[in-house]
Amino acid sequence: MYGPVAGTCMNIGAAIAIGITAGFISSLFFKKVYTLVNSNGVRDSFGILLVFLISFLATFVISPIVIKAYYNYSVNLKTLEVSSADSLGSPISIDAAGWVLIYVAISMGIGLATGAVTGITLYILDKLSGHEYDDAQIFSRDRCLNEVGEVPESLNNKPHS
Amino acid sequence: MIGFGILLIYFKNSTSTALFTSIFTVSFTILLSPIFQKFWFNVFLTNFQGGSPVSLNPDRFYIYSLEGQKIPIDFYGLKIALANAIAQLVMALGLFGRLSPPQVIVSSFLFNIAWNLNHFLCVHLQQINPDNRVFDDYQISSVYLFAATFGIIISLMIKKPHLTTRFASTDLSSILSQVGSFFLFLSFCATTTFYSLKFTSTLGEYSRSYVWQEAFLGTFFALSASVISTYIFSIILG
Repeated sequence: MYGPVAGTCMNIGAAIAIGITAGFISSLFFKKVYTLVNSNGVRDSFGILLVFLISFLATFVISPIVIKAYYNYSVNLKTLEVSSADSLGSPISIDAAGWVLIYVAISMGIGLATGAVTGITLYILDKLSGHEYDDAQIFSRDRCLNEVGEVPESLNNKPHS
Repeated sequence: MIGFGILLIYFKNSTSTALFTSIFTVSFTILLSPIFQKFWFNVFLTNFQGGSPVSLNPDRFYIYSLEGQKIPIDFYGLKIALANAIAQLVMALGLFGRLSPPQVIVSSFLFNIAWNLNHFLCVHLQQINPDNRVFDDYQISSVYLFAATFGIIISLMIKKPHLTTRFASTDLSSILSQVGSFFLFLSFCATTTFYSLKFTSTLGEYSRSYVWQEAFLGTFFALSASVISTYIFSIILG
């Protein structure tokens, strides 16, 4: 969540506040939402919905707010200059907040469209393969052990909750 | 990259799959990405009228040729390729254990096309932006948000295996995934220094490294606070 404004918002208190909020959202997600989403088949292996939620909040909420705040106080941020070609020391334009939202909308739009195309392609590959993919079919050590007639060790391990 | 690879070991029996996914994604993207970078650069920034993404960049160290087109490989191009690879590994967080190796290859290829399209379209917009700046300092929207959106849509379409013991973990895999999380923790701080993908108003001068120690420290404090608050709220929420 702190990523979009890490170079802009140079305030350790704000960084810690954003970190605490992200931690709360993360724990809430993995305790409540993650188990609900995966209750009927694995839909989200490691919590990509959380990545989406946090990056969405960061780029849609935090980044424009920080830019607006710096604009209101007419702060000149020397550290924002990335090149001598930029206008040195000029205050942030309020238009920058709107441009941030444009970048976010474009990223999401292209992600949705191309993700749908890729999803259809992978769905067709799923249909062609005809069976559910299991890591153990290709990579697992247990498969090698089974071939020489030994009992897979992992069968004796209890799953870790 | 190491951190993502070790983090994916969390599932039982998934060690080889995790290593395959992370190593293949990074190596495949580094090889493939410069071709798409060149193409989308021509589409959005030069309108196929010549010009190189790195014409004045002294970091260029290798050029390879494809169909008569010179494709330069430079440090900045590799930074774009690695940001692309990070985005793919973020996407893998949602799909891990559900994609077979052929599907990983196909999705990686299509993701390369899509991610570079998105990246250079945003660069084009930055060129026409009056400020010539993007206030998305560490590419959160183009790396994390894009990858998450891409992954969620795919996740809705492919098969949803039932929750079996292969999606559980062992003590060893849990410890290894903690080590992976530690590497990721370090890398998030490091990327604030090395992975800014800034573009300037002139095409020749493409990137500048960060010299913002404050950003490094701010990221460190934000991550530390999030780790501590996650522990506390996890206990509170049961």
